[in-house]
Amino acid sequence: MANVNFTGAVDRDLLKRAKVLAAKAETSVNALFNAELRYLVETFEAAEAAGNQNFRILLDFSLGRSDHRATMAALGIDSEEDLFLLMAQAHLPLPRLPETTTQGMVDELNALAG
Amino acid sequence: MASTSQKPVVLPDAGPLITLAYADALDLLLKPGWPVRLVDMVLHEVTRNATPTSAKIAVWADQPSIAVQATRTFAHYQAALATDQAGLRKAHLGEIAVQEAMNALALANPGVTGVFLFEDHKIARARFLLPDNCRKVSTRAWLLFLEGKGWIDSAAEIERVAITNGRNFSRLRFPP
Repeated sequence: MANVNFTGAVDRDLLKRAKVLAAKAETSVNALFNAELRYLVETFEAAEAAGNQNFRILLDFSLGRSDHRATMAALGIDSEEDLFLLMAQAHLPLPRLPETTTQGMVDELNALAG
Repeated sequence: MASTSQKPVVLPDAGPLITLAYADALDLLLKPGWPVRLVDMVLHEVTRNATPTSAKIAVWADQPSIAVQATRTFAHYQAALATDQAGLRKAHLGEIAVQEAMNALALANPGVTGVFLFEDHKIARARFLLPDNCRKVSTRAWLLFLEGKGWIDSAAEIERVAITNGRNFSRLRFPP
């Protein structure tokens, strides 16, 4: 299958960690990216073909488009641990706050520690 | 470092307890030497069902240095459990109890800062009325704080271990 180049943006720290991972695994960031993107696309397509909307629900949660309450209700689960495990199994990251927000919280903790 | 009487109190929600339990890193909540309190309803939520982490959290929570904060939410839940199991609400009672714990800290100990730990998605979405002496802090921010202090080597590594162990231990079928 023909490869094409495309341009995208990625979190600087994530790219740095991906490069370390690629070096340790004796592969390339490009190969890692392709493998994870393929997993995402094929899992999504398989779920859709089976009429299963759950991967879409988890994806919406991962992208911050729905909150944990709506997600858990849609999946029929009442345990936060089940949500954590489903996200891990789906290879989807939990929603993340912006780095500036996280750094603000780190600064607050440093101020409390004195 | 703050004086002993003014040390912040750390109150983790279910998410951070679950994440750190999967990473075998619950003791990281104790690293700064600040008192840790577990809200009773939250503790119940993460231990009531047998899961890969429930026993681990229960044992960890049982140590003398960790206090359990009683809430009316949990008392009401227990009373309801005894009388009307069929119509009992279970979902998200931990969030109500956490709000109750925030209010209690503001009223009883306004000079003490409460550090309430949540996963990112709850900080972004859950609507807590945050008293002046309470802070919402994410697990990631907590780990980065510890990393900055030199108490752990890598915040990212702790998160990575949690996810990896979650995949390995999961008994859930995917897609669900």
